[in-house]
Amino acid sequence: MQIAVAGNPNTGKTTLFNRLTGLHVKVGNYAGVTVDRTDGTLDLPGLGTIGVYDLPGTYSLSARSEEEQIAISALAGVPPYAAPDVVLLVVDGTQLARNLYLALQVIELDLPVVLAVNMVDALEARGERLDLEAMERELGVPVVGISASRGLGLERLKAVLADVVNAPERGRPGWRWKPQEASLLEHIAAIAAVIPSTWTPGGPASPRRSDAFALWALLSIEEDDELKGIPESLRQVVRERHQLARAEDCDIHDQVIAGRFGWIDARSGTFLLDAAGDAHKTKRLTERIDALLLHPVLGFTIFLVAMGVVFQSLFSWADPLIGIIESGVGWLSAGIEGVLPANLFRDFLTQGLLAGVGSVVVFLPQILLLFLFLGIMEDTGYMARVAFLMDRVMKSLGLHGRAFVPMLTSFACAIPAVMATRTMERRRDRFLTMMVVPLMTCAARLPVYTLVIGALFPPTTVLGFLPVQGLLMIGMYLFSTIVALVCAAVLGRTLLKGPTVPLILELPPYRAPHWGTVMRSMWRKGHVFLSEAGRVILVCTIALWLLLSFPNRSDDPSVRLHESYAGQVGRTIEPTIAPLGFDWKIGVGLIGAFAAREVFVSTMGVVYGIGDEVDEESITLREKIRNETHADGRPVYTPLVGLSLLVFFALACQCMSTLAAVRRETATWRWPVFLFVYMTGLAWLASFTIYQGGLLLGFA
Amino acid sequence: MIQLSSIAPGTRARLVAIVGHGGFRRRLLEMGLLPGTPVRLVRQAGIGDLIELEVRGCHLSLRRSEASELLVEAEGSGPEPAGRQDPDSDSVGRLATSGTGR
Repeated sequence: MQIAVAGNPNTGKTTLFNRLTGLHVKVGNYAGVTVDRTDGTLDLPGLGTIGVYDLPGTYSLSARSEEEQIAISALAGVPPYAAPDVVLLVVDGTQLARNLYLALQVIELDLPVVLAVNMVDALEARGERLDLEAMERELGVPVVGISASRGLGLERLKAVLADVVNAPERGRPGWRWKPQEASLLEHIAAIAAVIPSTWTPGGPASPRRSDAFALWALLSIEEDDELKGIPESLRQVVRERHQLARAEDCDIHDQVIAGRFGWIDARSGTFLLDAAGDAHKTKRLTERIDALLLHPVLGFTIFLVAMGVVFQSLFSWADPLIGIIESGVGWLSAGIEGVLPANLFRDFLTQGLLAGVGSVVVFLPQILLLFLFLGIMEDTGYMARVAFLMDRVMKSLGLHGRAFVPMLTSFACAIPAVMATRTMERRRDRFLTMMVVPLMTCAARLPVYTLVIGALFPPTTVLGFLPVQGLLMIGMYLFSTIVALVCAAVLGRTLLKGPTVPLILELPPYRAPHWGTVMRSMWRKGHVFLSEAGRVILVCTIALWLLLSFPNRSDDPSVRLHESYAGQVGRTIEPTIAPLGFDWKIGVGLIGAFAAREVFVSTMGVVYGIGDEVDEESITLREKIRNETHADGRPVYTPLVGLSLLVFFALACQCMSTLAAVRRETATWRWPVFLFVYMTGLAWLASFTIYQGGLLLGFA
Repeated sequence: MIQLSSIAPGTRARLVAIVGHGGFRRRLLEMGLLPGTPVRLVRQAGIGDLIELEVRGCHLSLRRSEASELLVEAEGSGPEPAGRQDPDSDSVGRLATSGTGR
């Protein structure tokens, strides 16, 4: 037994889902596409436990892409999806007309439907009431008024759901709007005849279902759509039908859509009772807030301040938590070292397994915090305003307005940014954003910058007051941001070229965030990260430990490093990085940095024989680096080498955690591999240019 | 008949036609932007080229260039008076529009 929850976006569907299912949910994907699916269970009176799952919020079942196709495929039970036994359709009582459009389509599919009208508390606050009985009469399906955020009407809803599960006919009234024009009926019949039998497993579809498919096909199938599983025969008939209609100066889209809305409009006057003047007041509140938040100057300023707060807090609030996690890992590590004898197994536990788990969990504070902010912005409706404000800027870069917040937050860490791209509808927009956010200067690069700048650049000032070191740091931020934007522009016009899709952005009314929903979605994202990206990170950390520790030829750490596989690799790749000014020891550091960028610092500690407990502030390490010389006495590290190293770190893809996240979001290895190759290639070229160019210009 | 993108903020109008074809047009129609539907232009973005309009009780943003595909007939301007029944933007109006298209 399965109940599917469907509805428009911004109807409080998720809040209702959470209320009904409680804490035990499983987050996953719809098979074959990167579309979230949450599965939970619900206890219905007299029926026991029933499965509940959610469908992505959608305005209509008609589709242009594989992701949008999920709506009809999952509801109608087109394989590999199984049709639900009941559809719980959530509509926003304050915006009934447009919401009912989807309702008509779902009813047309001939599935048992229960309609939940949400936001009844908002209606009451406005002095309005809906005539639910009239709605039930006209729509033919049970209608229940609820407030998901306040928890009103839910017991009644469960009782009604149980009713319909027991007697499905109560929720299957047949088509509401019925096409009248003879030509339209012919079009529908012609298409219904060629609906693939694979879409209706278990035998031929009921006439209502076939006709519903036919309408869907007429509205969705186009020359340039990205739909899947549409046989050419069906496309052909759809094409012919549209041509016939055009020959008679008719437009099928107009006929169908206007027909449905006409049905709704004719009845919606009867649905609303007590239409009071207060409707203006509440409605105007959103508009008045928008007059401020969307104001060209003030709104933008407020936005920048808000982003500043988010950004700052990602650094400062996450830091103490990261510190706690690191201490915790250190404490456990020391505990193990105290208990076990010094041997390989103990090393595996502390430096492989524990370090691996630690390097996964350490990301959690930033990920949770970011998704907390994103959740609040989404739930209140502010996120749509961000897309509105940033559209011009983002569009000129070939990016989607919703890419702005992920890009901003990748200054802390790219991983939650990659995960957040799921909010963008078009695959091309998501992929483009994912290819570009890892270029932004993330927090993990800072220890490397601090070490290199501190060791190799003088703490002097330029122009009398501007500190060289500070300027260099700011310069790195600017540099990486500019490169990211340029790459977005280039990739957007070449590999990830796509026509600018016309924008229809809904600005929902402002609502107070529902904390339960926000927190829950925050935890879920954290959990997804832990289980998926976490797996990859753990494996890679252990692999890296193996490379750095074997073959175990000496007790002296720096000799052991030299003889290790990683050391051998470092020496092998030395010719490729020598033109950048790097030697094999840096090469080993770069390999270590692949686990996580900040590992570069501790690896350099090991390389220079100080041990891996150093951090980037260590004076000893800095001195070691400064004093390191080649066989002929030349210093290994010069400011020019430092600059080359900085640029390399800025651009190279050295974060397998990011690659793991990209792999998850793109569902293939192609894109993470491309990301790695293009970023590292770019890094190599940039370092090469800086180093060789510097040599030519006489900086030694 | 003029383009929606060219009317002043606050103006109320009635949608007459949407030119063009394809997925975008279909999406506009399915959001309730049908010939005969009353719309109100709420604001134009100060920077950038988005416009915000109100239709059937919902607020949508479109790019100005794309909104030029919507042709309207202006009906009046200025904010609705508070507390009075307004045929376009409040409950009665947005639910019971009589326009059904062709």
